[in-house]
Amino acid sequence: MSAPSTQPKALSPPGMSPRPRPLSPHLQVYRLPLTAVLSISHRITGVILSVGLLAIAALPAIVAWAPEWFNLLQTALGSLPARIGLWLWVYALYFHASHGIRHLIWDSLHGLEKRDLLLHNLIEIGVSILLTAGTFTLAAEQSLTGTSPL
Amino acid sequence: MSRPSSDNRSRSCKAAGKWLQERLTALLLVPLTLWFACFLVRLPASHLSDLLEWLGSPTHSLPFLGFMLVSTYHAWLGLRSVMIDYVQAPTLRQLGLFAIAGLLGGAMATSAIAIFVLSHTD
Repeated sequence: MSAPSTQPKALSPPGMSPRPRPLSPHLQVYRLPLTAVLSISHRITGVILSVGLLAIAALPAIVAWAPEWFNLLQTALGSLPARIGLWLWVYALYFHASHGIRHLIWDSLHGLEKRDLLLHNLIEIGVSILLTAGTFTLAAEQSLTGTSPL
Repeated sequence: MSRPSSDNRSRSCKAAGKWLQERLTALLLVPLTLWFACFLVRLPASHLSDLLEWLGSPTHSLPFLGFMLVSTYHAWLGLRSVMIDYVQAPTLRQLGLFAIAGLLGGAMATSAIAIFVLSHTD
């Protein structure tokens, strides 16, 4: 048995010596177009949002049955990592919503032309950032029963 | 026994149904998401009394419950297609789907019962 080669021998025709051959683009070396990056981000944010949803579902349960844990939760929520996590989760929510609306536009057979893709990519990113910034500007540091404009 | 062609037809009808459900829940979630994000960012500055008062009123508990239920079903549809796309082994895929359904269903039932309890306590 010969030492294993880094090139797959099956790709070389019989009787020819194996030589490096181009392989089809692999995800590790292929620079994904922005539309593809946004597409996989939609999936990833969907999974992150689902995990967060499970955590949020615990909130009414804590308030109803274990209010003594609420102080602990509030202290945790006040910490910097938790605040950053909350920001990122809300950004993921807006990003997922923006890309979801784009899917609805695609379903109507609009925005599929190459010239639309870049513009819509930028709109989608811009809208999700603006919505996140707007939400935090209007509502951050406000309590639920306070005089927040939202 | 149904013929293979009708099996395929019923399978594609089911897939089309899921596709439509994903879109319909997404549309419902657009206004609910804006509302929910505004609720979420006000959470760190809120006290227990704020939440008790807030969740106790149907003006807030109904949209909260609406967001939770619709987004959980939407999450189920999404996680289901992620599992179908990336998990090849049938047993593992089935187990994964059961686990996801159990977690999402359990969390949502707990949340809904807690909201019901909160709206019936003074």
